[in-house]
Amino acid sequence: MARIEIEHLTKMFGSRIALEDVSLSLEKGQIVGLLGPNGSGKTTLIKTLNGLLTPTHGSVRINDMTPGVETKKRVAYLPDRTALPEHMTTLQLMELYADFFADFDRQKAEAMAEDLGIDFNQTLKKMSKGTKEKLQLILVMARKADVYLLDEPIGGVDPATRDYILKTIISNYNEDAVVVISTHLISDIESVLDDVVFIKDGKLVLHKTAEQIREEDGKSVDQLFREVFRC
Amino acid sequence: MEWFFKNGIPIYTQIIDEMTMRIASGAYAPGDKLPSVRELAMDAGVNPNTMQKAMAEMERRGLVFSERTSGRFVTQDENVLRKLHEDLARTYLSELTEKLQKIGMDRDEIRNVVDSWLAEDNQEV
Amino acid sequence: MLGKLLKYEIPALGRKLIPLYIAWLVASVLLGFAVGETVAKPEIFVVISALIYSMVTAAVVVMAVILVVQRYRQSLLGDEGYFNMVLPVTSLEHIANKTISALIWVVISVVAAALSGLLIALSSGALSFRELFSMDMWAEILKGLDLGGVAISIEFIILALLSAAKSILAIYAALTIGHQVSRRVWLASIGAYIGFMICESFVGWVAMLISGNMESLMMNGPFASQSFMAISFATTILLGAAYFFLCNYFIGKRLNLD
Repeated sequence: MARIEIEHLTKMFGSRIALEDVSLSLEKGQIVGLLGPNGSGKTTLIKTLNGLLTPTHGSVRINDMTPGVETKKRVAYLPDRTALPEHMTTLQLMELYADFFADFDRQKAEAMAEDLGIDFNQTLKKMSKGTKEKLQLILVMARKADVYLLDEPIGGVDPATRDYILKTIISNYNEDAVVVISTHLISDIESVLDDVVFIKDGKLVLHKTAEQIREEDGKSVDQLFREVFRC
Repeated sequence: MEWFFKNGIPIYTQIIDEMTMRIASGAYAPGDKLPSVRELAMDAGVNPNTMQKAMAEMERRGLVFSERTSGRFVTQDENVLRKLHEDLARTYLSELTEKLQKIGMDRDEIRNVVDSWLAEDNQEV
Repeated sequence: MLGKLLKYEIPALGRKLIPLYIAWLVASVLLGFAVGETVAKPEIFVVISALIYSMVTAAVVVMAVILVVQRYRQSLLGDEGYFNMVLPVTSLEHIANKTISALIWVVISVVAAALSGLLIALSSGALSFRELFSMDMWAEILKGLDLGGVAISIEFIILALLSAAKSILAIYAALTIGHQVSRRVWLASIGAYIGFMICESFVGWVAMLISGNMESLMMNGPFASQSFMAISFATTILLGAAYFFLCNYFIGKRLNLD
């Protein structure tokens, strides 16, 4: 049974088509890159997976269930914006996560925070953008979820942080989980990806493994991306 | 240790090449215990599945072997190691001769050039 | 999970309201002192204290309303929704959480208002501490209010609470519908709220007709009429449930977070 099963998913906002007839099956043990330019529908797709959006047509299933309380227990989501209460400190946020997510590994989170030199008593509001992103990533990765949805995890951070984030994703790898990384910064992460999905104007235009692309097309994923999405 | 991957070639292939080199050069000595797949993947910045696939191939080639509970080790089989060095040497030699032939040298000229090169570098070799 | 939600929601409101309550109580003492007759003071002092008091009172009321609206809108339908709506919590629990927390602080506000009045009376000298703790005075007051007995008073309090909950839910439903139907969320929400109020008066009017109780009401006052109470309970609960259902439907089954 695939961890994530998307069938003929269409999402419209009024008359605007954000996703059109997308069908996709993602197995556990995979790190999947959801790649496309800004506005192509990647975030929309992720939001239907975590229940923040309802499909207009078609269906989305996680562990063979429609998004709801049961799937939310098993899905860890890193949004592309700061969604946590800004007045809370690092410690309070860990408490918050521990309260609501049974699979949250508090010790792991604290260890990672120490690694990154994050102040346990600083409020989110006072942190720099880079530190905020690191903290949010730590909270998500310290969960033992079945599905990880990371929306632009390496977007606005410096290269050293980017490296740490990728290393964390690798070291967190768990053959029962599926990790979906949505990004438009391909060359930085392509060596980490198993599967690659290209989304263009709300449609699925490619689903291959990264190695297949390198072997069959003789290109890096980044190079193929530039071709496919040439302006 | 730094990993550097080229575009357009499967990463798994490049990992095998790099690991083979490390064994041939003695960076991983015969009998050494290798880091876990996860550690190697983190170090190289690659997907653990890819690293696992590469290590499985290394095992199939006899360059490493795994002991069920203790992990993966570099082979101590002298025959395998000798063959490895020989194969690598042949690959490099074939590249060298091909290049020298391309610039118009015949076999005798090649032999002479190699001999005088080695003679010059005598102190360093 | 509802307990855990409340654990975070109640203090979130308190953080903003408690400082205002403290200011309110201080302003009350000040005002009482200003209007009291024990010590002579310049007129200007009275004016200023009265001004401060009204401003703080207004601030409490305004803040309470703003908070009720903001806490719902922002944390469920705004950026914080990206966190709150992926928690393994049902929409029912979310709505109950917001409603209960808001209600608790409404009650606390009423208590604070009473305290404020009391402090004014005490610090102005109109009331002495001894009188405060004497049962006779309180008995007098209760008789004066003509509440018709303990049972009726309790009914009235429960009705008041239900009514407050209903009003809070009306705001939530208006926000939910506004968010759902239009890009101009505030405009649509206000429109929805007005629509709801119109419906409510209509419902009230129909209820009156059905019970045929107009005259009895005029003659005996609300507390004497048992059927008036019954009708009020019924309509309040009905409306409250309708609003709750609206919120739950859209947030549970039709969520579309921008």
